[in-house]
Amino acid sequence: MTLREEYRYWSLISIIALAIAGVFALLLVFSRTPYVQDILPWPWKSFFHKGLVTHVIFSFVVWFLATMGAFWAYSLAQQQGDDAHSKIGGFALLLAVAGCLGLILPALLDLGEAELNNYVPVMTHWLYYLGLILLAAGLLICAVRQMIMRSGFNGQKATAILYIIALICFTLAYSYLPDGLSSPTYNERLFWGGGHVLQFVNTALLFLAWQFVARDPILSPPYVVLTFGILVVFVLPTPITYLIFDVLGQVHRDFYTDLLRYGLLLPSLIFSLGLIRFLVSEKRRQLDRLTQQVFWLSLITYNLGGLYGLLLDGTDTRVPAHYHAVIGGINLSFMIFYHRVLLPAIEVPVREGRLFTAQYWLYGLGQIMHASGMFLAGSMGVPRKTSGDAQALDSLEKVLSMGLMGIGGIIAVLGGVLFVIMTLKWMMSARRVG
Amino acid sequence: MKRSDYIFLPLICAIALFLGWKLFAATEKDLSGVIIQPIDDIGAFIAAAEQIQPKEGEVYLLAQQWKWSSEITLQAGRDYILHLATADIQHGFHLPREAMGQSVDILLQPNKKYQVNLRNLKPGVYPIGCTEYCGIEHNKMRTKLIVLE
Ligand code: HEM
Ligand SMILES: [Cu+2]
Repeated sequence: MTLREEYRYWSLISIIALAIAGVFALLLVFSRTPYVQDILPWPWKSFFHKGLVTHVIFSFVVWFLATMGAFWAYSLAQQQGDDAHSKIGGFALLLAVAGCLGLILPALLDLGEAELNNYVPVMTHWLYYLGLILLAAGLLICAVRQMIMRSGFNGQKATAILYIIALICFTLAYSYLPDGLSSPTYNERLFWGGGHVLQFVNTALLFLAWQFVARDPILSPPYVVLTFGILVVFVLPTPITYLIFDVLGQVHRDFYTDLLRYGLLLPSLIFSLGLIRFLVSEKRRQLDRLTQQVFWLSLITYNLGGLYGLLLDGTDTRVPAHYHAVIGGINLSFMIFYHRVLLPAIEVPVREGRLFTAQYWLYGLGQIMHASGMFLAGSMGVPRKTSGDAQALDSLEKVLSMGLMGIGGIIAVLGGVLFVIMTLKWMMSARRVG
Repeated sequence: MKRSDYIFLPLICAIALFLGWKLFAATEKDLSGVIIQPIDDIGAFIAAAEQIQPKEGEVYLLAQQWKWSSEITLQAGRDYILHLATADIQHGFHLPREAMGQSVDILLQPNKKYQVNLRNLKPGVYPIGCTEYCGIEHNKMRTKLIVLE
């Protein structure tokens, strides 16, 4: 398989993953919006949970990881040529596709129970875990290939290192967790450390996406090395935590929360400032207007989420406010990466127009509203990840902020749906012609 | 390299080192002020948690899937000892920082009891949540601390 085919397939996987997630997102937003949730016939209480697992795993884990696969194949192609062959690349893709089947089948066939543990929610069925392992293995192959490339330390290598460390953390957790734990505790602790490390991977992916789209360097080489270096240095000691702290204990648990607070702040700040400098300099003229606007949207959404992350305290909707905003900022960077870098590279024409521009504004502003509504509601004490009566919406402010969240969510989903439909349609029809 | 880089690069390294040190230091301070003891008879704890008026200045709160044993009502300006335990699997006790000027977050593991001092409580109503994922209804595990003037 050529490298160009490789990155085309990784893109297809990631965008189809988003399509799957999108269907579930729409249903979930309705089930959480005041008044609408009363009108809808919503009998399936257990659907809410299974739907949430499927939504999260595809919109967060699969979409991010498959885009990472596209990044790596694309950057290899830049060095070795689009038509360079890689035997192992096709095998990695095969593993990932098989993995996705394992992730979706349990929800469709109602196998196992939903468990909404942090970062990597699961359906408790062997097929699902097998799916996770296959997906992770597919990307592990790509990560190793990236590591043994002859080149100095760079963002791609840093991401590969971070990803491999995350997998090491999962493996260590698996081997240190005692038998006989309840399913919630088991899954939470299994995915806790590695899940936090994956947020470093995701941050690195944001920087890589910005850099691909900007083309001209956003930061000069020493800053690039330093920024990615800090991400790696913070994560390097994490496997040791499994040896010295009890995996089930409080110190281990709090270490990872603090890891986000202390480890992500500085790299995010450096790269964001670099991007701002880029966007106000003459260099921005090489970019079309929409791309510049999307950069700003991505920058603002991501940093708003970072700020919410620093302010959170406890268990209310401020936690999802935080991660919806950071993830929204990263998603915007991926969207523009696909449209400005990847589709042109596989000769898929991108049709500009009002709807094209609209998807970015809808998604970006919608996500900002969605997250800010949640943040406000959380500040007033609305608990997270519940729906209906448990939310205790007993004041006008709460209802308004939850309404903002609901409307923002719908707007964001519209933007996301536009992205998925347009991009998939273009990719599919170009394929038939080509 | 530009001249400004000789200032910025070392500065960034210094901040990174400082944050790394903070992270390292954070592993030490976590459990200060919390007394943890093994518990062999959860029954006695449950009984204490069910009592309406336990010993003066002592409060019991029991966590279980997916509820807390009760709401807690206390007087501002007095000191209390809060006793915590879980009846089943791991849970997390969380009191937001507004209540005492500093948030309290304690992971509750089975077969242990936890003792923490509540001091300088400010009047108000504070949500108590579970911060350790404990199953599908985890987010419904909520109660309140009510502090009266
Ligand atoms: C910008 C710097 C960031 C800071 C300061 C930060 C901080 C935090 C903190 C303190 C928590 C709650 C504690 C915990 O669950 O351990 C959290 C949760 C979370 N963060 Fe971040 N984070 C940052 C970036 C990110 C990024 C880049 C992502 C993913 C793209 C992310 C995704 C999440 C998710 C999904 C959760 C919630 C897990 C859950 O409770 O379901 N964060 N973050
Ligand atoms: Cu709990």
